[in-house]
Parts: sequence; structure tokens; C-alpha cells
Amino acid sequence: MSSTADTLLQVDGLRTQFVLDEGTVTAVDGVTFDVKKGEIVGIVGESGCGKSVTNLSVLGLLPKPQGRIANGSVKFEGRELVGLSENELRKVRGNNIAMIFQDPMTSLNPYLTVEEQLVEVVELHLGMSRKDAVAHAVKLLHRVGISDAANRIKSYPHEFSGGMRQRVMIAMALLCDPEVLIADEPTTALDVTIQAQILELLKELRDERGMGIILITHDLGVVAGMCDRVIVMYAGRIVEQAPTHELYASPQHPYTQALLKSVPRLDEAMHEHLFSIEGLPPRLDKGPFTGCTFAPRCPQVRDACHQGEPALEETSPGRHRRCVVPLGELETLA
Amino acid sequence: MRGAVIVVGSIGAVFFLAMGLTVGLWEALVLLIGVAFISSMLWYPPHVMRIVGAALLAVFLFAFLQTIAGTVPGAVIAIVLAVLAWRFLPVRVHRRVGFMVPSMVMLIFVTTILMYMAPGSPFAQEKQTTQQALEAQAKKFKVEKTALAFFGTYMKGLLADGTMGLSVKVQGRTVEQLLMPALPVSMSLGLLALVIACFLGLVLGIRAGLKPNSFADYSSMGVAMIGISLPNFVIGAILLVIFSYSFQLLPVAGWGTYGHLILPAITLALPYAAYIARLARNGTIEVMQQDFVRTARAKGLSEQTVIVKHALKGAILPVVSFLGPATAGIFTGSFVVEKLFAVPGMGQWFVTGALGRDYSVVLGTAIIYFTIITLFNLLVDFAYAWLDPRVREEL
Repeated sequence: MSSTADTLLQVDGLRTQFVLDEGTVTAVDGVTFDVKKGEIVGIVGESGCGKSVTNLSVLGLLPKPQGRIANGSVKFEGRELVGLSENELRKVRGNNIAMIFQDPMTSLNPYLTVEEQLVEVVELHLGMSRKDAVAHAVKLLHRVGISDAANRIKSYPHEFSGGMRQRVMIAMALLCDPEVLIADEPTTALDVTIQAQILELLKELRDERGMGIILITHDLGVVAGMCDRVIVMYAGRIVEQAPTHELYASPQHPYTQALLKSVPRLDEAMHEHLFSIEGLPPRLDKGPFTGCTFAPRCPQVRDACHQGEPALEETSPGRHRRCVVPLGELETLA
Repeated sequence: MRGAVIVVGSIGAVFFLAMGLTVGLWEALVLLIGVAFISSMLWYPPHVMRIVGAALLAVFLFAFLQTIAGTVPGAVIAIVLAVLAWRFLPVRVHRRVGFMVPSMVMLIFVTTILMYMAPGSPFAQEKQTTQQALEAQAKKFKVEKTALAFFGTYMKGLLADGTMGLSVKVQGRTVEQLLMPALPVSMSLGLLALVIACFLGLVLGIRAGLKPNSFADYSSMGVAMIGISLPNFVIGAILLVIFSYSFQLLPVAGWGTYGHLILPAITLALPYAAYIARLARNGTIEVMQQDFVRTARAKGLSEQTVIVKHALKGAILPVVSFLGPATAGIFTGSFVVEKLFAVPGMGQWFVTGALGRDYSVVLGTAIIYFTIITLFNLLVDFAYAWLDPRVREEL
């Protein structure tokens, strides 16, 4: 993948494994993508397909001692992160690359005030005095839409509503003006009206600060409204990667097709059953796999699919897919 | 609501009937009134609760202070403190006091009933005694015919005369004369044991919980298992052999110097240290898997900050909950250890009082244990609220 001046993050051939008593599980295999300045990259896929593990690998936050990066590289502004010492990595975490998590109810520390949780990041990375750090934190809380921030900052997380907590999380992530923000299902635990507000806020912040955002989600509606580019993952691998509008207009992988088909549509008759993909994703601890990992569930499966794993090929500039069925022969969705 | 009233009412009626048949009708009635009074406090509006709480506090303080300071000064101090409490303490504290004082009265009453229900009497001897002599003794030691009458006399003694009564078995001594020298002994022994148990338990438990299934984990939990499985007289004997006999570092038994305190405190503490270690281990493992610990790491904090600042509070909460029962166990369970090391504490009176049917001694130890345990539970609740802000509003 080409590296240009405005490439912030480059993940290349990332392979992440978990060493368990039962054997070694490869949770992420050969994942390659990059994030540019001001770009929102969506990563979609079912639960357990390796979306979150990919991003935990980027920051070296894999659960220890089981998790490890077996292969590949992660470069932030050209600097290799894989193999960095814990001390060096800590200077990147929360400072250059920040993360927000799925459930704001559990991701904030219930025993500490919001002030304490925000200020410690500023003191750590920016070396501000306590007083300046508090002022800075209040400014960001205000920016993410928390009214009366100077007083509210003294509250504990349980004194905020779910949406407000996620705003606090976002403010916490933005304290050090990170170049890359990883948002791991930031709206999954919130109700729909709050979801829209949070996503709108993320977009505004992107425009304002020009940071790159990785948005992990399983909600294709969110992807359509937010992302410039989409990566579709299945069983730890990237199966398709494309600019958002192209992916929606002409998906090039049967899995992407099926995902898009399972989104409920307003213009469809109410009495029809929702489309769903038969079966479950393969259990990664049963690997390694000989053929395409999606083959057992694929409606367009053919003999060649079981012969060996298809490679990720570039079909047009910026578009990749991992499928043996030639593009011309791929059935389009009804 | 109506269904609940019917259910509670019928259970109460059955209970009352059973009590009336076994313990006696009047006793059952007093018990019922006491329970009803304590539970009725749940419905008192705040200003009523403040008055009731302050009044009960005044009664309790008066009973306690008049023994130390005399009747008139005791009454004055009690009333001044109660007025201050009424004016300044929050309602939730009044609720706790309002619960504690009548509970203590009920404790005295129930203990009295149980002592009277058990066969035998304080004056039973192998040698036959005349009826007149028995009656004279009963009159001297104020041992009445029924539990209810004894309860009345005892409460009058506590509140009006400021005495816990005469001991039957230790001639010529009042209960306060027996227990007051023993109380500081038991308190210092119990508190030191509690501190040792917490320190040892937390260090071992957190060390184990941070690296589950490692050598640190297995060794700490192995020590904890030994602490739980071995009875404390065995542990005490082993410690005696090592530190007093082989190395001659510490005195074998007795009381008076700091050295005398160490071995009994450790013996008393070890089983509790073991429990605390297990609780702290599980608490640590659980909290380290929480999302907010991952958040703290993602912020770039050092592992030490993550543990001390973010994980520790959550990890020790189960230990804090256990401190209430642990305190009760350490203070009331010290008899064996006191015997082994010849420590002149409360435990001996607790056991000899019960065995010898020394009614007033049993009640005296029960009152002191009740006070210590209730105060510690109050402290535990405050500690819990201090650690966990979510609990603060509920207190």
C-alpha cells in the first residue's frame, strides 16, 4: 500500500495470535490498511471477526500474557510501533492515538470523578499544571456539548446519562489532540437519537481537527453516513475494502452482499422476513483453514473455494476483495 | 400492598403463637412490641426520626456516662450531646442510632429469655441447699423468677443505678469491675489482629490477583489455604514453639509488654488474613478485567498508576464488606487464643459466664460485643461509601 505524506497510520500484514491452553488462535490474519488525515475508515463485520483485536493490536493493548502480534507492522507517521517498549508505547497511547470504547457505562472508572480521569491524561502527556489541566478539560467537555462543564466535571460517571458519558469519553480521548482516534462501536450501547448526536459530534470534530478516525461498527447504516472508506472483515481477515459509495453501489464479495442484504429497508413490505446469513462464522480456534473461510455459508460457493485461501486482490485503485469467483460471474443482489 | 400485609401479618401471628406457647405470653408480647417499634422507624418522617434518634442516643449515653461521671454530670453531658446530635447530625445517622439502641435492648431481652429457658440455675450445686438459702441468694444477686422480671430489674439497674449487676460466681464484684480491665486488653488484641489480617491478606491477595495462575498466585493461595484449614490453637502452638521456645524472641504467655501482644494477635489474625487474601485475589482479578482498566491503559498510564489509582478501590471493596463479620469473629472468637497465651481478655468471661450461668456477666459481655460490632459495621459502611461514590446516596 502506498504511503503518502498525509498517511497517519499504516497497518501492514498484521497477524495477531492468542496462545491459550487449548492451542494457538489466530484472531487477526494479514490485515492491511491505512488511515489518512481527516479520513474516517469504517471496519465492519460480525461479532468476533477481529475488528476490536485489530485495533487493540495497534496500541499494543492485547490482553497479556495470551495475546501477541505474531507478524506484520503498524506504523504511525512512519514510525514502527510493533516491538516498541511499553514505555515508548505509553507515550503514543492517549497522546497520538486515542481510543473510545463501546460501553460508556463500564469504560469510565466509577470510583473517580470525571475531573480526575480527564486531568490525569493532560498531566501525563502535556505536562500541564493541575490548574491549567482542569481548565483544558473543562474546555473540551464544553466542546463535546456538556453544559455547565465547570461544575459537572466534579461529578462521578454514574451521575451522567449514557449519552453524556460517551461525550465524556470523547472529550477524554481528545484532550491531547490525537492524530488518530479509534472509536470501537461508540454508539452501540446508546439509543438511536443519542447515536445520531454522537456520530454528528465525531464528524464535526474530524472536520475541525483533521484527525483520522477508525470507526469500528457492525451497523452498516452508521458506516454509510460516516465513513469515507470501508473495510469488511470476516474471520480475522479483510474480505473487501472500498470507498463507501462504491461498496454500497456494487459490493464485490458475497459476504458484503449478504451483509447489505440483511439491512432492513423501509421500502420493503412489512410482512417479509428479514434476510439473514445462514450459520455462524467459523470458530477461529478450529483453524487453520484450507479454503475460503466464508465458503461454508456462501450462497455462491463453488469447488474452487475449498481449494485454498483466495488472496486479497486489487480490482481497481483503492478497491480490494478476497474471492475466487471472478467479478463478471458474481451474482448481483436481487 | 394488601397481600404483603396479610402475609406479614399471618407470619407474625404464627410466630407470636409459637413464642407464646414456648417462652410465655408476656415475653412474646414484649418481643413483638420491640420488633414493631424498630421496624416502624422505617416510616417516620425525617423530623420525627431526628427527635426519636436524639432521645434514644440520650438514653444510651446516660446509661454509659453515669457509671464513669456520676448521675448528674452524666445526665447533663448526655442531654447536651443529644441536643447537638438532634441539631447537627443528618437523618441517616439518626436512623442508624434509632436502630441500634432498641436493638441492644432487644438483645438483652432475648439473651435473658434464652438463659432462663436453658435448664439449671446460677445457684445449682451438688450439695443440697435449703429453700431459704436459695431465695436469699436470688434476692442478693437480683435473680428474679421469670425472664421478664429479670429483664425489668436488669434494665432498671442499667438506667437508674448505672450498674451491670453483681457477678454470681466472682463474689463481691460487679460485672463492670470484671469487664473494664479486660476490655482494653481485648480491644488492643482485636485491633492489632484486624490490622495484621488486613495488611497480610491484602498484600498476598492483590499480589496473587495481579498474576493469576503464576507462582505468586499459587504460593499466596497455598499459604491462605493453610491459614483457613489449621485451627488457631494449632497455629498458636506452632508459633510458640518457633518464636518463644526455639528462638526465645517473644514471651510465652501473659500480659504487660508489647511483646506479649504479638503472638496472640498473629494467631488470631491468620485465618482472617487467609479469607481476606482470597477475597482480595478474586476482587483484583475481576477488576483488572473491567473495561475501565482497559480505558486507563489506553490513556497511556503506567501499569503502576492503572493498578493503584484505577483498580485498587474496586479490588478491596469485597474485603471491606467482609470486615464487619471479621470484626465480630475476631472479638468474640478470641477465647481459645486468650486461654492459650494466658491473656486476661474478655473471652474468658464470655465463656465462663455462659458455662457458670452467671446471668449478669453474660449480658455484660453481650452488650460490649454488640457495641463493638455495631460500631465497626457503621465504620465499614462509611468506608464503603467513601470508596464507592455510587453507594454514598443510599447510605
